Amino acid sequence: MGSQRGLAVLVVGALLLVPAAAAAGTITLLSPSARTSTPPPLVGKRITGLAPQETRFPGRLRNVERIAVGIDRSGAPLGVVVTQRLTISRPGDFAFLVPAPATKVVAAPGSQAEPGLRDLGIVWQGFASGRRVLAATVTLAPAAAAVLPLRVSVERRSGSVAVRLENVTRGRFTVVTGSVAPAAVRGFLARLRREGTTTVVSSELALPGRATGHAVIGVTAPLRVRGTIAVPGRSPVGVSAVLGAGHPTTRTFVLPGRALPALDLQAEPLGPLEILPGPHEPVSSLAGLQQVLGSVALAWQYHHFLDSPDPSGPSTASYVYRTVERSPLAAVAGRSSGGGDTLTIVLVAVLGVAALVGGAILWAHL
Amino acid sequence: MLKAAVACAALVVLLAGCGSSERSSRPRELTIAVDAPFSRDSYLGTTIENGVRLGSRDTLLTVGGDDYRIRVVRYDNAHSASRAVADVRRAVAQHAAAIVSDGTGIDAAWKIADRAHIPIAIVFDGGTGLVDPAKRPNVFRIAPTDHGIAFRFAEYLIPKKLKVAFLTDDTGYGREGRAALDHAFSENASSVAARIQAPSTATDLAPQVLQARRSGATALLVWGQPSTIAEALIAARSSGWNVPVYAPPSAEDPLLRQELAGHPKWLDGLVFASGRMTAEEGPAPFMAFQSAYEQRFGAQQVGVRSGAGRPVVQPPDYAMYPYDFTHLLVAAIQSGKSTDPAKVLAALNEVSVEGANGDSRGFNRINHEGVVDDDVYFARFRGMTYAPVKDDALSATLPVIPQER
Repeated sequence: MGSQRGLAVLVVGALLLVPAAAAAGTITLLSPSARTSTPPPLVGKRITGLAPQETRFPGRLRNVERIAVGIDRSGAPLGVVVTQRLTISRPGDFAFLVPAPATKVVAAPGSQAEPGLRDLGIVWQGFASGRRVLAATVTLAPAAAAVLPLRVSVERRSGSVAVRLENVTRGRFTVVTGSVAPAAVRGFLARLRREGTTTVVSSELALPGRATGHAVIGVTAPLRVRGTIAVPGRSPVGVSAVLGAGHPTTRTFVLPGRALPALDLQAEPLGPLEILPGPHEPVSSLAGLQQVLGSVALAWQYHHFLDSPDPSGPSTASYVYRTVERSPLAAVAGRSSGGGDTLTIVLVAVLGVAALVGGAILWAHL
Repeated sequence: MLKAAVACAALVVLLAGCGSSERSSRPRELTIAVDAPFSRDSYLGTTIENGVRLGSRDTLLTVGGDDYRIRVVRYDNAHSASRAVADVRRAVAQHAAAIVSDGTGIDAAWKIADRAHIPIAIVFDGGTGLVDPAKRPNVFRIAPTDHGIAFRFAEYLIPKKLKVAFLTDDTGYGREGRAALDHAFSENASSVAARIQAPSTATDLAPQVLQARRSGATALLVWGQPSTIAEALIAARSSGWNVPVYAPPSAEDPLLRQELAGHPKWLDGLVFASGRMTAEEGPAPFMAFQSAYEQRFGAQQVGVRSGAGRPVVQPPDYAMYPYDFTHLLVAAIQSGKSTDPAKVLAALNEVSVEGANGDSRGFNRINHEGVVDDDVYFARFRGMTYAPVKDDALSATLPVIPQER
């Protein structure tokens, strides 16, 4: 049941991206749950060559994610650990895979089942006699940091330190251009606000209007950032900002002194109701409406840093960025691929020379 | 002289890498070794072997340009760890692709197979510690675990407010069961009235059953060989103690029913735990499996008659597990595109198949258990056949599998 619904949503999403209007006199709007081809959600370490995993679950799944990002004093990510809680609310069998480039997974506190780990991601299987929480703490491969929504950078300037927070969510959608009747737009938005954005079916996305062509639009997922920036000996600086949704996508906080601060920030993509214009906020054009829908869709993607087998089910994700001290081991592990390769080459060269010398000595003594 | 020998050996190794690319006309053989107690527990041994044979029937694998068919070789471990070790050595010498075992002697034998990267699949013994992906990367299991059965019993019995007496026998199966029960009931010690161990060779358990009765027990959980469960029932019922009795999967063994054939009423009401035979999609997959099994090997006659006077057959549920493992092995070879044992071993962590009961079956890198604890259900005997109980959430959803012919 769940898998069919998930498939239906994906098919609907795909159909909506087909560059054609549904019929003469109608405009097909972008689905607020459409997905771009790029992550999030994350994919596994291997995505091909393996048989598809069965997807089965009873009723709806609730997905709650906490993405913990350890950053160094410059703001660079050192590691990403996700705690994902999927809640089943009805009795029945469940078996599904959550794609993830995971290096380690353990059951999180409160989990009522044990997760498994494959190259493709995290596997769950069992029987729920009623409500059941499936919670996993997942350590991700370093590459996952490239998909994070917020970029933090800390740099010293003359006599001060600048902390720059940048919303780096970017998505591109192909949409139909043209014009629609303002009343139809108002009615459509009212229905979305009333009934939610995840259960919209394709027929509800067709509005009367005149199509003129197609365009590729770029959107961002608005983020709400809260937290503190702390420098020893001073009161912490509070952060409360929205990046995107009409606000700048970058904010810079300048602190006096030379000491690099410790950051504790939480970034959350805005929910659909926060992104959609209110009843009294006019949407002037079809292009503006498609832009809003694109933002809702992209934000919905960031609410699935790890995917849920029920993409239409309720989902929230919060990204927590905390300054951590880099250990020598972490420093090596967190190094860029170039640095890592250099270390590997040096080690292989040293070991190779040692093996050759050893072999020559052995040969001489045979 | 030694230098020449080393040089020759190196040349042989080099030449071995330059094999012909021509495709051989006759299929090569992949051996699956079945190590089971054929002489001591014919039902179990035959069930495991038949499961592997059914899972590998008509299988023709093409890997790297070569065709392979599966050959099944059986070894009798007679429930002896030392014989199991010897069997595993022989299987390794034969370059077996996998070893399917009831679980006997695996603590001692797994390392021998691991050195050759040969996977071992345990398809009966649920003992805790037998399977550990970190320490024993080549050991897998498709069978309900003792841990799962014990925790499901705790989940099922504690809300009934019963005072349970554990009666376990002194076999490895009984001792493992006792440990699992102790762990599962550790948070609810007041639910346990007594912990009693009985010799597996005893032909009369009246003293142990009397001890349980005097402890104030209102339920008896007997974890041991089928003969132990039979003796416990005989002792309880013949003394007029109509206590509810619970048992692990060994209660399914036809031997139990054969021993109680003279007093079928004494078996009535016995509840045992086992792995479910059907998934949410219903009984069709298992019925198809059972039909294929019976067509090939005949029905598993229990040797007793039902309450309606008809012959009783045992559903081949424990044949599902070796059958499913055989399919997983084939899937792993196909996924890894190699019969190289190390590659097959790694691929076993990444593949799933639809099991004989319709459920998805597979392992992963941190869990080598093919039956999740959730899949343990409870069934109650009545008239020499059994049906899922109705007072457990999972069991209540399961259909009755016909057992009369």
